[in-house]
Amino acid sequence: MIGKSNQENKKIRGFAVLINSILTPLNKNKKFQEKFGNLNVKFLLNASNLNHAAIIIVEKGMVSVESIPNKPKENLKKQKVGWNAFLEMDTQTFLAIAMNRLSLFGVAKKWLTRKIRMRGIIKLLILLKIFRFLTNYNS
Amino acid sequence: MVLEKDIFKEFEDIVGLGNIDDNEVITNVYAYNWCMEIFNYMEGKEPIPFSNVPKAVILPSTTEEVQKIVILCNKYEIVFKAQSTGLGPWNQPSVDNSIILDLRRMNRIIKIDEKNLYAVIEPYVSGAQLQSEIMKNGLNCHMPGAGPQVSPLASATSMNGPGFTSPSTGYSARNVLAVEWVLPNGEILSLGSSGLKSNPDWFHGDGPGPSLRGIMRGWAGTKSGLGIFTKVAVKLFPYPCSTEFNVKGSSANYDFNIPDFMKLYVMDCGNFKKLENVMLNVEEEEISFMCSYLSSFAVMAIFSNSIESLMDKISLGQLKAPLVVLIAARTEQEFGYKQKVMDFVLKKFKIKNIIGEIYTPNPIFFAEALRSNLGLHGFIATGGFQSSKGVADTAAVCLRSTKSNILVKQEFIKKGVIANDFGEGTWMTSYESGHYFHMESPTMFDQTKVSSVKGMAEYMEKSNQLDLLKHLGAPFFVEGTRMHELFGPYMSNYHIWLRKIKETFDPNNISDSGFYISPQNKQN
Amino acid sequence: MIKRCLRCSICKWIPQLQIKSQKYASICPSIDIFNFHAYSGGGRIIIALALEMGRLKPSQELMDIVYKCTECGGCAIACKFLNTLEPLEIIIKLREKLVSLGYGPMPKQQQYIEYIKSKNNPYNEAHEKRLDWLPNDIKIDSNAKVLYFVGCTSSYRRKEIAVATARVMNAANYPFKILGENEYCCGSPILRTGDKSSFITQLNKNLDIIEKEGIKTVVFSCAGCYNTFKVDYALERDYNFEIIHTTELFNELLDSGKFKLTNKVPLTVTYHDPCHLGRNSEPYEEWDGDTLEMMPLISLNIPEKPKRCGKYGIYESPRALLNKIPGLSLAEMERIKEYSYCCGAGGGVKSAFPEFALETAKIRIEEAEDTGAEVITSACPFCSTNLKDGISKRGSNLKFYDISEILLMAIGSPKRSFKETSMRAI
Repeated sequence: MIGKSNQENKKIRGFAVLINSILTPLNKNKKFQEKFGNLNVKFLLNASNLNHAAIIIVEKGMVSVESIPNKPKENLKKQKVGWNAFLEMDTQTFLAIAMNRLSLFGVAKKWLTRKIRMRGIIKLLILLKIFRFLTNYNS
Repeated sequence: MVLEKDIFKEFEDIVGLGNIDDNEVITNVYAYNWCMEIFNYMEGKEPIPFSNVPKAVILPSTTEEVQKIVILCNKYEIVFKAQSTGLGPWNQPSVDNSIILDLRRMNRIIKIDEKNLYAVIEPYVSGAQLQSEIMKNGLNCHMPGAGPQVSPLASATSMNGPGFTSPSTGYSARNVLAVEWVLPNGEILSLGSSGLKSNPDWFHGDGPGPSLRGIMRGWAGTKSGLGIFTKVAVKLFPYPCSTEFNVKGSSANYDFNIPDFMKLYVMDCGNFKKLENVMLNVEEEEISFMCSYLSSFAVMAIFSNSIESLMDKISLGQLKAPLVVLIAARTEQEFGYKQKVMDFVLKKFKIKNIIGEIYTPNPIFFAEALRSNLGLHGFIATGGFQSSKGVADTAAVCLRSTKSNILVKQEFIKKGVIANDFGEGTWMTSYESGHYFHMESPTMFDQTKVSSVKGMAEYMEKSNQLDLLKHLGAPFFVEGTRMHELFGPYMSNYHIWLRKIKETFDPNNISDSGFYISPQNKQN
Repeated sequence: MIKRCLRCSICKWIPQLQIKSQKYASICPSIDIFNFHAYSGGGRIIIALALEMGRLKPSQELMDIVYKCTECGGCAIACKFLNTLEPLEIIIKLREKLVSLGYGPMPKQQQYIEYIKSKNNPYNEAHEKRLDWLPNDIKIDSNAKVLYFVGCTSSYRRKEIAVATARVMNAANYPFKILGENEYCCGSPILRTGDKSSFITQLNKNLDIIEKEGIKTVVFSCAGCYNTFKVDYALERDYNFEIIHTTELFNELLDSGKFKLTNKVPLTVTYHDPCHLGRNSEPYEEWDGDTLEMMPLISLNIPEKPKRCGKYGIYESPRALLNKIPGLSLAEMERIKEYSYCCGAGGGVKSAFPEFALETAKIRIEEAEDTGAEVITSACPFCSTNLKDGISKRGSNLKFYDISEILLMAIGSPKRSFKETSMRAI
């Protein structure tokens, strides 16, 4: 349930709590751990219309999420957070991507119009794979 | 506006002291309803959730009292509107010169015929009440998608009545047997076998003589536009599984002992063509208790009891064309057979069941499925939803309508006036072993925001126009003169015949025609 | 929120998934008796909206409808299974609004409020007689840090409950004190009518005294007083003592062997969950989260806001107690726990609309009779009064005992048989 883990760990707030509830079930997924067991990466996922960004840490096949206020902008800088990839969009776009409703063309279009901002595109493809792993089936 | 004192007294003499009230507090409360703001806006009125205010509200307790009230209404040319539990704008009076008959005191289960599989009920018996009683005999009834708290009589006689269990229990129109009907002029007509001169009974809905069921309710019901139904016999069905219904824990997160021999399938068919084929295959095998295409957002919703718990299930949002099938059986053999059929379907179409693999619902889902409580989950996202007028036709046409509607919906989603379900919001279910289907497009809006109400109304109008432009099958929910006159010319001018029925049975237009059809050139 | 009622009528029924029969499907005594939709939880939400929109003005008829409600909270439990509406809160606020506009409370309620102000109890009894219930042989420990808050109804009307409670605590050698003439009405009868400012006066009076006495634990045998301290006092003012109801306390004492149940009590008993001990006694939780607008029209509360659905009411302790009594068998009604049917007395109804209160009690007594029980029990003196009145009016053969009285029968004494003990307890 959203926020249950937040109540246990009051460090994460806002959007990060949602990300946490979506991703941390992967920690019980053996196939995920097999596939990403050697991965050590940190993503910063900022919801431009909200107040907190989510720092997604994937380490040895385990996912954890932290939050950071997204204002002032300096809070989100690579030097401060140490991210390997950065992704910023509004939550509506995020949901569209998370629910597989935005094609790569759609993502590109939003990127060109600066509705999506990204750094570390190669690493972001990994994040995309992680989200796709949530359903992990062929249709 | 209130009734004149002497007229009020005449009504009071029928029902007794305390069973009629014309105080503005009482009448204003009855003027309120869900989605009234949308319909008001569509008629060029202020988008508020209040309709015309009736002059009085009256509570009859017997058919004889209902008859006397109707006769009196004819005498004084006061329009009457009957309601049971009262959910929905179709319960509202369309004129001020009206009284509402709240049938709450008519709440008896008259008869349960276990052998012949029917129950005779009065208007204020709710679906859950009926089900809880017939379960004791191992039986079940159809409950409309609006939920177990509404009236099966109202649904059977006066509404469409699709339900989540329609694959196994049909829809309300198909479940009507004999009926006791107070006509708009006050005559009492017994339809079906209850009208037999000798040994009248309730088991059959047609005759004596020509069946009048088509006139009585037709396709979509008359919503109190053609008199008042005081008793109905509804079909009963074998309860699909063990009748042990053990809900544990506490609200709002109950737990439930899932009966033996129940299994849920949620399969992503990937595209509409495949979905159509899978659904037809499943339905032709006549094994499902529930079989619905729900948009992925709706799948998330039926497994959730709050918007927060819905967002927890984003992984389910990736489903492109999900089919939800619930099988239930009373014996291990039956269950084994149904599972084999489903396994065959899964293999044939190379699809997987995600339940137990990617997602396992809380057990309470099964209780809600058995008690037909799933439709109410449509409200959890924004607090308000309404469906487009829907389509009833083949699976292909239903899905074509869904597809066409997506772009229209997305236009309004972009404006931020309806909630973003990517335009896909759909509920589609089958009837009579896949011989036909209905779809509707539940759309979430916020009834507290005027912009959302207006946007929703405009979307619904555009969606209606789309059905005409693209010839998208028979509309499922059609009510009111404007809609009948819009669709009628495209559908063999049925509206002309509907009007003739109205004019014949209700020449004085005393039965509120707001959600039925008005007589030619006559206003209430 | 008042614009969000769906007019679905769910507020009239127990949670749909809990319906086991047609007869016992409803939860709202008000609409059961008065039938017009305005008398339901949803109906009163619509009244609140109509008032706000100026469609209605306060009037006698409006007051009548708003006050013909026991504030049992059943509508809220039913509604909140899927919705986030708060029908009970809206009814409470509606009463407060009417009072602020000079349109409430009802005359009989205003009368008892005056009694509370002048005599510290709603019964117009002399304050000095508040201790008249106390027999000479009850041991009171004036140095105890545990206070037994007796409450007005037990002090003046249901003395047998106070006596039984005190005797059980004595049997367990559980030291307690009482405030006697320093005990004042908890204020619940005032609060339920919407007269919040008068309630605050009572609240402060009681809390000041209790804190001055250095009390660590307050024990209640009255569900109403318990609920008022636990939920309503806590909203207005912090306090640093613990609250416990006798059903919880007695279970703890029994489990730790502080007293024994040696007498058989060969009765079939059904337990009535008081609204104020059950669904309404769930405290409010502070929420320190964020509301995220995910997209137009859809906002999330993160973490999810706690929903008061009666989950943390006291249901198991009384049942556990009854199940431990030798010879006693417990037969449950259909409407229990968070969806229990109200006794009919609360919300100021017993005073303002005694006939309505009685009719409701009769409905509940019929349900108790249908279990085959010989006795109906509960843990609230106000329920006790109204259910006893209902038994009498209905001509029922049921007997009513408070749960403390039944415990006392089971504790017994070497000199008294079950029969003697039970006769004295009436």
